[in-house]
Amino acid sequence: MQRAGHDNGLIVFKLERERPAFATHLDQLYYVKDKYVRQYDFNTKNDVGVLSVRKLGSQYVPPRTLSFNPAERAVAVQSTHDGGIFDVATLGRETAAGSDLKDSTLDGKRGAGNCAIWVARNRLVVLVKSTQASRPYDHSTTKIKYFSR
Amino acid sequence: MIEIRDLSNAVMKTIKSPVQANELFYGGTSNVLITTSTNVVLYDVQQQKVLSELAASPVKYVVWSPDNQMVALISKHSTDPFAQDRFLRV
Repeated sequence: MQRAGHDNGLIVFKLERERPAFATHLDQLYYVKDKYVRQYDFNTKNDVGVLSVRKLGSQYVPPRTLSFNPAERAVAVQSTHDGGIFDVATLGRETAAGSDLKDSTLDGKRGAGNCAIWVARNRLVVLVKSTQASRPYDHSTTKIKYFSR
Repeated sequence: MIEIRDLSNAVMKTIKSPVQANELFYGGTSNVLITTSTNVVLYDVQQQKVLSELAASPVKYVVWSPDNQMVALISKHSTDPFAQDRFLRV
């Protein structure tokens, strides 16, 4: 968190979204922490890493959303990096020898898009905003005006 | 533009979004909630049909109840709960 003080007041910038990308299914919570998708069991409080998303997007920007597909144990993890990218990957399973941790870049598939959501076992809905690109531009011009004051 | 993809990430279908979409959220099986800066639209991607529409300030998070009967739309300054049947009736 960064703060900038001024005679007229104070602005607070958040460098990261405070709420991580997460999804719940029954008693399981799937969330992104330190570039890993982790699985947390509400009952046993067991917390394990199930997928690496290290190479998804920028090193410093955590993924924004995570959508879980319970039928296939697959996730879609989305990052705002590069105009929006996402990885689709199935999660590793815990074995007796330890968990086989997969990497979303190596074991999954990558696509471009701003939101990626599972709506059925074999259906992922992706919003592609590159075709409607007028709004962010307006936004940045108003910001520039504000800072140069 | 909205793409429908399968498990192997292949594009099965491309749909033109019915509204100027900001973000997509889960809306129940085969449905998505499309948020715009003024509205939330419940959209059936299978039939490509708008099921209902609500006025709401820009939504940041959507939380469904475990039985999928209620949904909370969380925006920057407010949280609005809606019953799914009310959503469908609007």
